[in-house]
Amino acid sequence: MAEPERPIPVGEAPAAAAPPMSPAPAPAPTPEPARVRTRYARLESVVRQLGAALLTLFVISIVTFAATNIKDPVDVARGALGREATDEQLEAYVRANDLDEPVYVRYTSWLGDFVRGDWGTSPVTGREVREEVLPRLEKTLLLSIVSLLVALPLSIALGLFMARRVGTWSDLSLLIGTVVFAALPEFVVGIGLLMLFAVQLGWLPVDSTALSFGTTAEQAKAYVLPALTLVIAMVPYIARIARGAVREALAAPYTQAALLRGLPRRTVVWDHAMRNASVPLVNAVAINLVYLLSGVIVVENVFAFPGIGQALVQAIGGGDTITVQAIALVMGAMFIAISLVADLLVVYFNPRLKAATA
Amino acid sequence: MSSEEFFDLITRRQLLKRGAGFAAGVSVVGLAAACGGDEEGAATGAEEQAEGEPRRGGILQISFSDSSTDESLDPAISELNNDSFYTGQIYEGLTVSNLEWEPQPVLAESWEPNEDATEWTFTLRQGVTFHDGTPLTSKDAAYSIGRLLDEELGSPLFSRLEPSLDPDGINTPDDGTLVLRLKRPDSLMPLALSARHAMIVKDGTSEFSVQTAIGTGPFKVKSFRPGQSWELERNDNYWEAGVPYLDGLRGVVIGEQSTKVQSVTAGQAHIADPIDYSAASTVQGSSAAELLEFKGSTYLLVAMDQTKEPFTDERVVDAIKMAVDRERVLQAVFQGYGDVSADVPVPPTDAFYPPDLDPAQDIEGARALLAEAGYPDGLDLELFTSASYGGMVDIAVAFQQVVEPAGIRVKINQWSPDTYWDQVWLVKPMYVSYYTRRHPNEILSVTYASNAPWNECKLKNQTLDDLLAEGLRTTDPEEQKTIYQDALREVADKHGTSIPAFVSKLWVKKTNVRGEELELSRGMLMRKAFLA
Repeated sequence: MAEPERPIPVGEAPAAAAPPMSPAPAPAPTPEPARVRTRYARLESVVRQLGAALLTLFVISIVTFAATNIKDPVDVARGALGREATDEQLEAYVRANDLDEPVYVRYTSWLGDFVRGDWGTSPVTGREVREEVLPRLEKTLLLSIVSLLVALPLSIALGLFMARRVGTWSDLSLLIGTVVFAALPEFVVGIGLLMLFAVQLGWLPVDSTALSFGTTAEQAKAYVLPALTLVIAMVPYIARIARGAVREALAAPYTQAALLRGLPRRTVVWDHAMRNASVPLVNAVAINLVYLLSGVIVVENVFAFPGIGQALVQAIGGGDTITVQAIALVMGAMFIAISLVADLLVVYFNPRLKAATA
Repeated sequence: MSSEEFFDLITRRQLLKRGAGFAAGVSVVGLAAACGGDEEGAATGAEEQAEGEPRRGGILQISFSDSSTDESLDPAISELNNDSFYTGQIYEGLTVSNLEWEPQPVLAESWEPNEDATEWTFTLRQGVTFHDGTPLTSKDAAYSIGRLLDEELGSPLFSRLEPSLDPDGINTPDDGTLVLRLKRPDSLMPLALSARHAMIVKDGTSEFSVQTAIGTGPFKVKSFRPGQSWELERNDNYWEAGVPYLDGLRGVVIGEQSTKVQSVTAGQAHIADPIDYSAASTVQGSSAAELLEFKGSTYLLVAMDQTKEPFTDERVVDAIKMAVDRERVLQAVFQGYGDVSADVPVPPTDAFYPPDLDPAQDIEGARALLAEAGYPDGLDLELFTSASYGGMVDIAVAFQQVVEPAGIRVKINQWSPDTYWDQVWLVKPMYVSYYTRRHPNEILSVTYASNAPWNECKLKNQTLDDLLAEGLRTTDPEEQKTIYQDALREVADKHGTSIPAFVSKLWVKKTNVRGEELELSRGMLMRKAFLA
């Protein structure tokens, strides 16, 4: 491109439509003169963010541990052994798991082992937590990535389509559609898809249990309905944010100027408008990814998908505190990793910040 | 009750009552087994005709929601629908009980007590081999029963066996004979050993992995992921010729109720473990699947501590029990899937149920009794409950409604499931509890006897204790029946438990599943099951 891009403030990014219960995204870098920023400043900011991430993880570990452990040791034991356990069994459980030690002693020893890679052996299942959780985590990650790879292009295309037709009936009807779908909980969407595609049409399996011993084709099919449910949960949010961001960028003076200079419309949309619109988009995607991880818990349980979400629900139901702690910490770590990556991407996409390092 | 009447109760009546929605092809252990009298033979013959020739081959898949990640391949500690089921196909016991609590031979061909039922001699079946080819001997049986007496193992059968048997009372005079020398008379020992926990594992097995979980049953383990799935394959060397018919069984865990139901009506599964009563209509509306009602499976109760006011007055307890409209509770909470009970802890279909009790509601009688006890203006009570088990909250609400006309004002206190069994059960004066069906001796010993571990009413009733001891001394079935009916009558009359109904478990199966056998301890036996 002949003309150098001028760093023009794009104004306030549209507020991301944050789903309930999601942590707030890391704030987009505040607009400040590009020349002030240096490589050193950026390194410092990355280090600061990493530090904050570790601190957050630490807090998550304390909260999770407290939530599952600050109660009468006998209650913890009863939760694990069930109603019919005798007093002798309860006492033996308390002793075997050091539940009679002070909470902070148990916490430090658990965390120390955890960070060294020893996630412990569940006294409920008698098996190593790590070996139970990791294979399930793989399936959940695959499900999430497949959903994202479908949802992302779809919602950006949808957003772009709407942004270029703002105010028309097609924009309006799509907008209403996204609002309706965004309001539906995954549980409802999941059951609805199940009824339509598995029960009525019979195209897809009702549940995802084929992952346990199905053929490759059956296993692939087992991903479709859960992934589709997650896609339907994500697309309305991302599409609406894409619509807002692209619309704003299209209306911005630099876009108008580029058009007036006779640049092809395609170039202007993709290279000028989209690049600027990608900053709020990346944040929206990050929030949705975090949301996706919580949605996975619901979706996995609807479809009996043997992933980490199902494991979490089973562990809570079975009073398996050590597995609950491990899964909560793993999920927390993923939330934070996603936010970090999003922040780095924002820096990459933001022309002003990029110019500073050029 | 004769076997034929019993057969009537569980299948023909269902057919009449609920139309074609119910299974015709279900058999019941002990009726299908060709070991009974003429009546049973007749029933079995009729059934086989209706089912047609068994078809060989195929893999049958079952969806379970009652499962947990702590389940194992060890039969001694199984407790949920899922582990009870798969261990029930992998292993076998010396005996298995039919629905009339009569032990039937499996790995033991016969058994004899001595005169006062303090010694039992079991003769093992010849020519039985484990899945790995080693022959079954009395050493395996001795080991399997002996390990149940180790409290550390935590088998639910420990508390049943321990009062009767010490480990050194287990003897093996030869490879085919097991002799149990007991600490007290126990005429019900062969029945106690029919429980799934007492199934025979290989001598010395203490870790139960896919490789070491070896039984004598019709199916052997192929894969096992706790809380997720399992696969069993046919045991080609099964001791009974010609069975099993199926190539294998598969179990998957589906926690979500509606998905579990749809997995049978529209999906890959052939059977689902018991569903919520509210989901029954979905199955009835399906052409591919049908309900399989297992009558008298569980009961919920309202327990009153008779050492605490106002339940120390027997008249108050009687008035409360009298004021319950049992039929309404059954309809409201369990949609009618069950039978009303006159506060008896065994179902009305049970051979030991005292036939002369009247379960009708009597509001006037209740008012009169309360007035006599010093509550002419009625009575305020607090009833604790929790969403810990299906129906517990609903039954509290239904109870509150039905006793209200008698001037009994019930305030419901819903407790957290996390701490309910520690802080409410056996602690508060009045609360909701539940049990699964057991033999009268067992349910009375664990929940009503003076020294019962879960004596919810805290009543010490010497008459009941004496009856229970007497029941264990006599080996005469008729005498036993009289004794346990008296004991159950004692409970219905004097103890502070309101048991409005015994409820069914609703299994779901595809219409082409045949030959499965309902069984009390294992849920279902599949050795004669096939896909038509």
